[in-house]
Amino acid sequence: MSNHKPLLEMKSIVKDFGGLRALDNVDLTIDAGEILGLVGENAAGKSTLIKILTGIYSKTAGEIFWEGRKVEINNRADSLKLGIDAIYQNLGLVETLNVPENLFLGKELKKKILGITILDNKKMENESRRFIKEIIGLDITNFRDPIINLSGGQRQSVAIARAIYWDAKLVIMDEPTASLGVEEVLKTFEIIRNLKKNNTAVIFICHNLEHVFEVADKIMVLRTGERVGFMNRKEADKQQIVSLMVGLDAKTAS
Amino acid sequence: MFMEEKEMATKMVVARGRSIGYYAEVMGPFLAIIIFALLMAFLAPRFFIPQNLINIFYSASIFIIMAVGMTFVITGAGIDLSIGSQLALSGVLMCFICKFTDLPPILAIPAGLFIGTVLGTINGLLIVKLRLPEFIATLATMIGYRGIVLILAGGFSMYRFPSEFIFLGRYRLFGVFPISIILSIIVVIIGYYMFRYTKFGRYTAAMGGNKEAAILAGIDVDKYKILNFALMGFLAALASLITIGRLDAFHATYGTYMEIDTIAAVIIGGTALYGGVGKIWGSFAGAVLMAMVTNGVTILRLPYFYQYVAVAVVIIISVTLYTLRAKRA
Repeated sequence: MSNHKPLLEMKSIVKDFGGLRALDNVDLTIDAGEILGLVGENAAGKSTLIKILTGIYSKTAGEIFWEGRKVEINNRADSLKLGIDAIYQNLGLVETLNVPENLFLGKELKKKILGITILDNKKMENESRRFIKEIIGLDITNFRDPIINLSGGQRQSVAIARAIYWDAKLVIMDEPTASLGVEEVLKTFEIIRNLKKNNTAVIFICHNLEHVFEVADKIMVLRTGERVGFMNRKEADKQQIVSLMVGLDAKTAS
Repeated sequence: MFMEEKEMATKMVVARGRSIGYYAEVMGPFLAIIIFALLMAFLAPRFFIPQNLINIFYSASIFIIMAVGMTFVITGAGIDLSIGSQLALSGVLMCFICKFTDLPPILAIPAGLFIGTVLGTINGLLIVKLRLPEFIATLATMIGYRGIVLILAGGFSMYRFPSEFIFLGRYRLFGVFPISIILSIIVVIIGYYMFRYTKFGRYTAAMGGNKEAAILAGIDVDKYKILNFALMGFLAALASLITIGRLDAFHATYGTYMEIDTIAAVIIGGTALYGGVGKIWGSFAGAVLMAMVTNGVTILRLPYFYQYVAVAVVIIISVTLYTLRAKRA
């Protein structure tokens, strides 16, 4: 009997919004260092599932196991404590704050002066400068500028850096390539592969199947709140995925 | 549409470059003070008599203190219309404690500051717990608090308070320099450090810039919203102490329209009306500029009502300059 414990197991997750069932007995399993592509049409339940995982929504029914232990994720703080971080479609960054302020938001570094605890802005700036350059490989010169002045790719990198810096064990990326140019997309793939090398699991939500096939180890398909497919990427083909997404058999779809 | 406006407004106050423009933007309100002073040097040299300059800062000190609190509120994407009524209500209660109880008059000061904090907290709770829009909640308390003041004061004024109660607004260092000016500058310095070096300031800016992102970062935005309004209430009570001390009197109309002048000072100072960006020193300069304009109208012997027009012109020029800068950025 195997002692293998997945990093995350979501079992029979149900979510109702009033009389509407948004998720119907959905299972999700992911190992450390694994990249799971989560695909589905709009309103398939992808965002709802992720919001349950990040503590924004509470589930109606089902169980969540983290490293083999049953857990309850009631709010954002619970998910962050477990090591689950998310990069949202709108990046989840505060546009009016600068890079270090965003990178350390909610987990600021502090120091004491005359017994009074204050934010250590200098240390946060130096640390983000080093981290963004060394780990993300991005050269941002205007660190003190609000990130509204950065390019889409730079903002994306800051959002990813925030998740990696805090040693997230699972990073959820919601449409990370949606608004990026070709070079920036390739850079994002490289960062995702680096996460895998560091044994960080990634749930990659994307409408672009080319991108999903480029990086995912496994692919999970949701349709109208139900899991309709879960397979190794090597065993899957795009036509099959599209068919599952729209609810047609492969022959009809072709 | 709202998001577009917000983005534009945000760009207006965060647009930066490596050029002179950046410094012009940061120093804008201070430059406006210099330009206005030069204008007054030409129109009315009496403006520069030391006593008049002290009077300007003396009048400004009340608005400076209020503007610091309002900078936090607006940076957190909020608004507080009730600050004038908070000033009056905390004031009347302080005066009652001072006049009609056996407590030492000095105790009326901490009691008043506590009352102000409670009034601000009530605003915060209405917004957070009842989910009332800030404009509506503080409009309601503006009317309600003022009503209570009128009921309590009954249309009468109170005069001649013990010196230990009114010293903050009354006494002058070396008989010349009002200590309320020093107090207001201390409030600005503390406000600046709170803004720049504490979680309170950082999270206020974060929730004003992108509330959803702040929540996703694990920040308890409701808590910081309440704290913002509590601080505003505390500072309104402090401003009340100076207002009462200055004239050694209290009247139920104290603080009327003060929200307009305070919000104007904050916006002139470069704080983003839609939140996310706050400039404490800018608000200080905005309040001083407003006091200079009001004083200038008096020095030029123009009718009192002209000051409203003058303040409106200053606001329009300031916001136009920010807009032009944002379009270039």
